[in-house]
Amino acid sequence: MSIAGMGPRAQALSSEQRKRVRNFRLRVLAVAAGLTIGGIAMAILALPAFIVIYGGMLPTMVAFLVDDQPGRYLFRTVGVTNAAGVIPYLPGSFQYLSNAGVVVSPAGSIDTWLSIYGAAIGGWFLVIVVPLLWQLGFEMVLQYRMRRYEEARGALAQEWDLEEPDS
Amino acid sequence: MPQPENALDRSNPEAPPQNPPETPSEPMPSSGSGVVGGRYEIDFSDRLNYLDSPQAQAFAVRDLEGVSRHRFALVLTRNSYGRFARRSEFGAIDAGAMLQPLAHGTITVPGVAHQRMALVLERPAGGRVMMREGKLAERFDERAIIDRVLVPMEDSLRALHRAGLTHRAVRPDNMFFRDQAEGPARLGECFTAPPGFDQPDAFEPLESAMASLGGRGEGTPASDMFALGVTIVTLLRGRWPATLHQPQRILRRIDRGSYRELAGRLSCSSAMQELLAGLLYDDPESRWNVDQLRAWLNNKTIGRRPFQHSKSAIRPFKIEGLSCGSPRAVAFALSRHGNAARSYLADGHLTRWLERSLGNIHLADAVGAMIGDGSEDEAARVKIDDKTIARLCRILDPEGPVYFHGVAVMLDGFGYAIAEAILSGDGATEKILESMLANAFPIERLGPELSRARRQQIEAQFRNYQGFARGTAMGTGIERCLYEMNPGIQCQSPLLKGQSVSVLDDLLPALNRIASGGEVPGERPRDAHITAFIATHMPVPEQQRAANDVSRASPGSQDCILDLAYFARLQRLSGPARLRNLARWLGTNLQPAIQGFYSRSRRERLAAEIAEITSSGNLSNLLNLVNDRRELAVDREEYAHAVASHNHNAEMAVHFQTLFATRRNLAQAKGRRAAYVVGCIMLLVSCVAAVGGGSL
Repeated sequence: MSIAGMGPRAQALSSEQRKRVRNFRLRVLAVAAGLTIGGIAMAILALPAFIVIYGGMLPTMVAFLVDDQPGRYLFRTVGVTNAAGVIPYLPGSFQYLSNAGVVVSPAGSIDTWLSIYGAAIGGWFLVIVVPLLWQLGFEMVLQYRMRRYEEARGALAQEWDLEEPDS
Repeated sequence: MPQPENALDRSNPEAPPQNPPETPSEPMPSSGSGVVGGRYEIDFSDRLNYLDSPQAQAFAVRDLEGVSRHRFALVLTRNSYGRFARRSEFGAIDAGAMLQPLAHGTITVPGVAHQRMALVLERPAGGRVMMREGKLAERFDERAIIDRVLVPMEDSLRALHRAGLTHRAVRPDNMFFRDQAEGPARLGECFTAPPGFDQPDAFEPLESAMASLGGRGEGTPASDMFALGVTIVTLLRGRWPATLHQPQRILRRIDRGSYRELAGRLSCSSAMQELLAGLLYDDPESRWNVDQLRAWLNNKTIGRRPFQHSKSAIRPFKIEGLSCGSPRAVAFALSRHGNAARSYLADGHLTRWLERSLGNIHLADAVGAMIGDGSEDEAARVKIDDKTIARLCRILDPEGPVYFHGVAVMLDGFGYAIAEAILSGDGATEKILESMLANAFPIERLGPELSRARRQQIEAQFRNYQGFARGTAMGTGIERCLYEMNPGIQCQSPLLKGQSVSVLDDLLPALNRIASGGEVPGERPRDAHITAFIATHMPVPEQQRAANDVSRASPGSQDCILDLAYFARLQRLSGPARLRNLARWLGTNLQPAIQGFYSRSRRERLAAEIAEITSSGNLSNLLNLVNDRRELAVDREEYAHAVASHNHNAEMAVHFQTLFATRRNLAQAKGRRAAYVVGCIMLLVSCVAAVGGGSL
């Protein structure tokens, strides 16, 4: 497995593109470092919140790793839906600091995790289903328009003895 | 005094008027009748052979008004126009002893496809003076000739010549005795054939004797006087002039003079010799006219002018055995043996002969300028073709006929020659005459006897005909020349077979009749003859308007619209107001005009409206419908828009097909973005819920 956008093909890229890849790697490294440092600090100061955030956003991490499509919409969509599942539990998680019991915090509730991962799965589902629905609708619109133009051509051809469209 | 009646009885067993034959001598319809002039009914079962003309058969006639029974009809035996165009002029004068023409017209002869011209005349009580190519048992003596022939003929010819007319058929077989007893003769008709057509060569002055039968022309009063002179010689001799070896006889007449050749050995009184010499002058200007004849009849001495022969050559110029002593004789011989003489001419023999043997330097120069004098190199010599020979003949004999390809036509004989060629279906002669006119042979050189004004008139006339003959458009060519030269002739269109159309007013009703019945004719209602007929008779401004009517019609439809435009103009000019059958005929041929519109619905509407308008019989309305310029402009504009829209739609269809082919990739890209947007909305809702609803 390779990091998205950094596959073996990157080896064959130009110097400009190689530079961009390098910058991207540095950014990823910086984010990873920030998340690591922030996670350690949060685990020390507010363990329930750390568990909800770092544990709940794991699907996003997975999506980040598997999405190598241009635009990275799988990662983005799963990210925002995953976040939408996490955010409602954050205020409650921050009420319990590290000295309090994790069990009583939202991190200890099965509902919390069902909601968070359900939202992430929903995001994944959206990325699969919406393009299909889009294609279906697009095909219908295209076919309708093509039929309309063909009919108009046929009518003109018949009235003015022009070239008939292929049936 | 001999008894001509008896002689007549013996020389012509079928001729006596008192014993008309009961059965026709040749196959003719035995039943049926035709009415001429709305008054004279021809009885085809009652043939009068003894009154036949060379080109017509005689039948009994019943006067429907019952005024007189002394009438008979001559029905032409072939499709010919004869000289009927001038009949009304003859009818307007009292020509004394000439058989009076009473009516003429076209009739349907039973068993004959084409209509024939028929002429109704006074019926002579006596028989023919002499049968054609026959022999009188007893010759006329001079007294009988004077009393029974010359006096009445002088009377008739005087009346005709005063009116500016010529008879051109003065000969013994065209003279009838006034009654059965001894009495004066009457001059026969001159309408059933072109002028001079039935005259044996001997009865024609030299110029027209050299011409083809149909092209002898109207001639001049001097032509009649010459024929009268030969008639007297024939009656005095009691036998018909020889008809064999005519080219040699004509050359001898050119060489020796007509008087010596025709009346040289005739034994008669000196007074009669004086008369014959006066009537048989070859120079028309010197020939006696009716006044001089009257003076001679009154026993006044006229005095014989010396015969003026053109200068003869020291030695003859020989062409294929014909010995020629003068340029006129050379022209005549060349017209017959031009092909054989080509190399001879190119070698300069003729030029040298004219210069050395004839001493005519002026003529030799003119001929030399045309064909050279033989001193040129072989390569530089003029190629002598048929046209060169025709032009050469004009130079050698400008007063003679125009020769080309064996056809010889006098300047005033072209109208008759063309009419004869077309009506008799002689396509070869038709082409030759057309070539003569197209090459302007008649005006290559005009006779010196013509005045300057007359010369200019003739030149203008033939330049006009040249333009027609050279024209390639419908309505030009020989057909146009036919109608221009013979204004009274019936339209000879095959479409009008069985119809008599000699004036413009009759054309549309005739075409309307043709189209009556179920099916309209397959061809267009306007062919070359009808076009030429219209172009000749229709006022020029109307023709220009008709041409303007079609100037904006689409190229493919111009012909059928032009038909309609001409006929519509004609209907406005001369009516009638309703021509349903013709409108239906024209409407059937309007398909190209309808197809000139691009719009299918407009075409269908036009077709429906045409069917509606044809029932009204108004051709102008029909023309306005198919030649509506505004409608045409709208149609073209709409068509341009339609083509643009059609192309746009085609482009759009291609565009959407391309989109359809890439729909999967597009749907992926757009659908994922949409999924992201939905996710963002969920995030927003979640945030709002988290902030607003407190912690879970």
